[in-house]
Amino acid sequence: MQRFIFPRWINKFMALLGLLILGGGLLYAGPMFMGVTSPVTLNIGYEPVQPVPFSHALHAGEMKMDCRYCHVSVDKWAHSTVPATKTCINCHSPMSPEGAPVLSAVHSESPKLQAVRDSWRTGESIKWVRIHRLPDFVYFNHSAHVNSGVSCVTCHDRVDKMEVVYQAKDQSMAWCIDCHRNPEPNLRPVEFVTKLGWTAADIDPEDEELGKFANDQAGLGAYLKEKNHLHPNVNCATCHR
Amino acid sequence: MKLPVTASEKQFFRSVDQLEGTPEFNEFLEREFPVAASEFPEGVSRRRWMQLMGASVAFAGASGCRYYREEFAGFVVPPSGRVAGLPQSFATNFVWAGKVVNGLVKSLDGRPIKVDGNAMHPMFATSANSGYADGKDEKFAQAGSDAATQAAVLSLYDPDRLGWLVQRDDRSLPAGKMVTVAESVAQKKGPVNWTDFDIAARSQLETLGGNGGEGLAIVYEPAPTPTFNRLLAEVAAKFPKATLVPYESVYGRNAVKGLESLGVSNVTVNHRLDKATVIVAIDADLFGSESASVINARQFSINRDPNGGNMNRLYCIESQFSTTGSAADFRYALQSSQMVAFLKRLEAAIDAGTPFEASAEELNYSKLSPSERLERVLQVIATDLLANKGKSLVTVGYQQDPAAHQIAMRINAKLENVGKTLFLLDAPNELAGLKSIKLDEFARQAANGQFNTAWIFAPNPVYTVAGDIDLPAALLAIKTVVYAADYDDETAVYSTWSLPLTHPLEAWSDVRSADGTYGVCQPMIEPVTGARSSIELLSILAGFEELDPAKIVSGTLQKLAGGSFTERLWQEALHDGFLKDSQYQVSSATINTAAEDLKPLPASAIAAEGENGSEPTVAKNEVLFSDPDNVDLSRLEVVVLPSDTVYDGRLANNGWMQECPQPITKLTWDNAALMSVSTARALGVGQSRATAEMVVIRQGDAMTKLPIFIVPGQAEGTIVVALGYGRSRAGSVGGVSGQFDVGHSIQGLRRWNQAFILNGIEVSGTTEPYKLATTQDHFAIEDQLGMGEIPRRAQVIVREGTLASYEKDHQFAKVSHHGLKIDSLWKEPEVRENHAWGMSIDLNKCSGCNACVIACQAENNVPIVGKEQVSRGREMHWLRIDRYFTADREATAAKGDSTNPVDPRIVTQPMACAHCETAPCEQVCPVAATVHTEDGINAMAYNRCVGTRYCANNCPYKVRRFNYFNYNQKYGYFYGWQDKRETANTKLQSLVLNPDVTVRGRGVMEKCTYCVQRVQNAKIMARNKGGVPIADGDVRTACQEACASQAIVFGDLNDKTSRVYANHNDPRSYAVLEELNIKPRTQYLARLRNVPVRLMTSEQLNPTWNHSHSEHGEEHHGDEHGHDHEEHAGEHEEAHS
Repeated sequence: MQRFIFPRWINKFMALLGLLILGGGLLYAGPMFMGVTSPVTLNIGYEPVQPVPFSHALHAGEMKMDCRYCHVSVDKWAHSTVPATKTCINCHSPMSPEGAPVLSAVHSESPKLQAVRDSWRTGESIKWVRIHRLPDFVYFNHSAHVNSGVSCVTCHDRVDKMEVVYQAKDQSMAWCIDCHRNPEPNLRPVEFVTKLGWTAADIDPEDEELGKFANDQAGLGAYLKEKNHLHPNVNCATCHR
Repeated sequence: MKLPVTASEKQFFRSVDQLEGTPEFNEFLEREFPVAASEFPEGVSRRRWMQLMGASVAFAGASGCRYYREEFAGFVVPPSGRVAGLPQSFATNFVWAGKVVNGLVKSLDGRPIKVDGNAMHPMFATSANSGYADGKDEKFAQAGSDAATQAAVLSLYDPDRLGWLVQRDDRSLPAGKMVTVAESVAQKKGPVNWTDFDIAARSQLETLGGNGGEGLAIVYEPAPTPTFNRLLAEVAAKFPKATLVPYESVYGRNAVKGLESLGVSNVTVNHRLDKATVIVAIDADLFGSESASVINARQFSINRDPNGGNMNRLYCIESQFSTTGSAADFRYALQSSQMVAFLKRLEAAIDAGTPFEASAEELNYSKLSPSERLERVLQVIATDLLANKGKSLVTVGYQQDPAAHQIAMRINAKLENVGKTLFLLDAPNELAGLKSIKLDEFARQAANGQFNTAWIFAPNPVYTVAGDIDLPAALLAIKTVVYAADYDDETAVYSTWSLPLTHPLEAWSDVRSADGTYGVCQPMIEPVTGARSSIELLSILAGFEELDPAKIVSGTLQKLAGGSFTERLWQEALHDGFLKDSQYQVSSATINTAAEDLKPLPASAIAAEGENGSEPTVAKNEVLFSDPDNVDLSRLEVVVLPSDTVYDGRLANNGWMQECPQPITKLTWDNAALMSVSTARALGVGQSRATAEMVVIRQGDAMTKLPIFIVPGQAEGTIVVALGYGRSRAGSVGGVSGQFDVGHSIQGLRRWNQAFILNGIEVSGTTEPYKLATTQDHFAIEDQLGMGEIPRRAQVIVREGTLASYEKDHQFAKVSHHGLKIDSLWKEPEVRENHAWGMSIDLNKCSGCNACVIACQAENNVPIVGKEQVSRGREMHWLRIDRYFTADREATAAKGDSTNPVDPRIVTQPMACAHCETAPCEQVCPVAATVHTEDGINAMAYNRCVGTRYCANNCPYKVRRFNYFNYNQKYGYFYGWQDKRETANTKLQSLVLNPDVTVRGRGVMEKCTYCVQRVQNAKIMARNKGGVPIADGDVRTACQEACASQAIVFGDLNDKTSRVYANHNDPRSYAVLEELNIKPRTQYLARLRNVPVRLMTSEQLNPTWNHSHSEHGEEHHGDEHGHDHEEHAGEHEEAHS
């Protein structure tokens, strides 16, 4: 068989073809890099399955347990830490070998709590799956924020309404810096930090100190920033060390 | 190039190469990184390289995806009081590389990551005075440590440690590959385990018990460890016929023998350098290899403040050039074998009791001949000692002849120093009266088949023992050899059982410090390798019921405390790191100054007699000085000393130590035959920076070939060689014979009775070249190239004067810059918001001991790069210690030989990023990866860095380091062998990393950050405590904490009461290269030497600082004018045309 040879007139279209490929490539790469790899696309909505189907909506929302009951070191140092098995067992202790309830044996035989009971019995940790994850070169300190009156809700959204926790904010660098440059909308009195549903509207207008800021988050933020000497830095070394 | 004679030329030099202006040195000047620095690594094939890079690309793909699962494991029951990520500190005490460490270990989430000194420990608390009168000593309390201690954590996580028990029934077989942790991880289970050993040991001990321990030998390293010694005594009681063999590779019994000859025994000597005004160190490296180096440095530094009016004076008479020699006010080079004779002369002068007066017309020190110099030195020291009775101290190095120790101790007694600057303490000897023999005797008896079982508790005796003892043959003649091994090393090969031994951070033990204070060694972590401690092993041997080491150690404390023992006392001892009031009592023993003279050892005696072969009873009172013009090759001596980095070889597999530039030579990954310029010339060998010729050293049948290294100022005719190199089974860092070697072993030349100072040796030069990796000329600041202004710089980078010149003119260190207008091109940044962090380094206290260098490496995850990369100038140390030589210029000029400087001295200068307020690096970064914080820290955003290296080129201090490779992953701690075990290794080695500091990757620039992680954490801590302000001393950098001399002070310059503010306003304070208007935040306090007038060189008598500058200024002005004229002329011409 004779080899097929493209006719000469095709050459005219070669440049066009090149342009098409280039243009198509750009059209493809643009959204890929600008859109697909954006933290907004990649981060928001991550909702892994946890070894224990723990409901924040039930515990934090309905039963109004304080965040710090489980996330003990959130106001002490960098990590908020997942709870130790012992923390779960405080309420969900398994039955004694004789079948009698021990301590406060809430749902002591629920299959959902099997992983907790296994961990308690074997001494092996529960392997929780991390949801909010900053890169290793970012040094975020929970306590620095919590003790300055930045609520959990600012970064984690209404966890008290989540049946299964997912990442709600993109937690990108730009997002961090927005708040560091303009923290006023996210400041509240330190005692309300773990009250996720709290807003400036909840301020008692009769309150001597804060009453005048009822329904005025901007004013409250400015006041607290001044009062607590909050000057969030935006230099690189604040987070990158 | 000639050694400068006029003031306008360079006064300080870094190496002989610089004097000679060799092309290599110039290359390091011209380029931040030498030619081909960015080339392909040698020894890695392109194919291998593609594989490596392929692997990292694959990783990149995996980690680029957001949704990979990261799991975290919560506690089941949380430990009380621990906050995740917040370090805890625990006190512990252990013996490390021959020195007692009173440590405070930083443990992060249960993982020890840093060892520092325990400031509460009585050793330090009794000399806590820092020399500052600001009442902040408690706040600044820090004990300091040494480089080896700082590197201890790396050894803990060494994947080459013995991974499991090894049984070698047939020791004649080839030893094979080293058994390491990595190997054991890969294979999960060893052929034998502890249960097998327990069974074997039990049956063996039953047989031994039957005949009273006949044929049992226990080789151990003598150390002040009460529990170990107690158990040893128990074992000896259980097996009365057993033989104990104490063996210590470095610190011999010379000092003890010297004391015993004066009728004093069972005492330990404790120096108090802080009480002494005049200190004479005779061949004693007080701040280096002496066992009390840390406390020595601390006590010495207290009286180094010239403003206090009580500045001490240190004379150093030594053959090598040591850190002590560089820190000394006056140093005199003399062969080690002459020290006995020197001391005899000194004693005679003191006995005479008449101070020597300077005659009015006498010549100054520069103008004297070598023999006159010796006389002058003797006269001045004797006079100074006589004037400071009870306030002086004469110390002699452990390597010196017992006769030298005897004389020195007698001098101290005659000067009434005993009980004032030197204490004799009653040290109980737990092993007194037990039958013991020396290792040489043990080897002989073993070879004759007198032993059937040996337990070895000494680290690697087969490697460290002197060449005339055939220990392998001795061990092969013993049926069962049980070796408590750190590694599957040279000794393990000759042992039937090699048992993994714990690292001191994994074990229970105890120790007594030099002053007798009892301290417990508590484990910081479960044994990583499943090892057992020597206490556990000994208690098996002793047949104890109680095998819990914690209980055994607390039993010792109970015995010590007697009736007052309570559980609380034990807990307190654990918490504080020491048992209160457990110091030794001052001994009632008196020194018998009339005792008979000791016979000097052959080396000293023969040299003193000046003839070989004869055996004199006492050394003649004639000191043979070192004459550079006439090196007597018949008097060559080789001085063998433990390495400043790898000690006797036990730290050989510690990458941090291997790559730590040795204080004087700045040599890494090698040892060499160090010798002076004249000695090298006499031997006909030479060295051109990194390439040295080899010499062959012979002693009888033994010979070693090793490269030379020229150290100006070393005693003529003395060759100094470091121990600890040329290991045949050290590991993937320290060398494996047949695969790669690190340095050269000198052990074969040592003789059992002549361990340190060898004479009767034969040295011949060869022309064989050898490549050394030395950092001495890397990152040289003084730039000869650009413009005429530059020759001025060298002498203003390190500033040195004498105490006398300082008293005459406090401002001597301030250099005025004539005609220099400091104008900024742009608006200067505001970098003093809230805080203004700054640092001050006192060159008068720094001895260049390297503790800060390794502390920085440990704190900041600085990788090692290997010998080949170091020789390309790619070392990664954020903090380096620059070492500048200076010399007696007049005497050198008079001799007319500029490359052989007379009477060289050293100034050391720690150099790291100075955090310039107008930082030149920031101005050239195209991506703003290096920027300033509001409080003045020059920060690096690693993730932004694209690796242009412009910043490094623009840095006047040359302190920026570039990751040419992924050193932390590919070439880092695990350097070389890459195979499937790598993962296991990386996991173990990465435990040493500090999680508070980013681990940098390839193509990223890095440098000192002022420990920004500590600064930021202190700020957050202050906020969490309710907004209390950060007090002076709250933030301490890693280098500052490690500095035993307290030379480094860090703090807030906005705080007018801070120490660093006071130091910056001290008249001695100066900024390096301040004329560039870069406003560095790190400033230095000028070095002062407290030299007595009769020993001052011409230059010291007539300091040229201001003088030279006014002179130079005029010259410069002249130049400027000339220049101006030309320019004007040019303008005119232009106007005309």
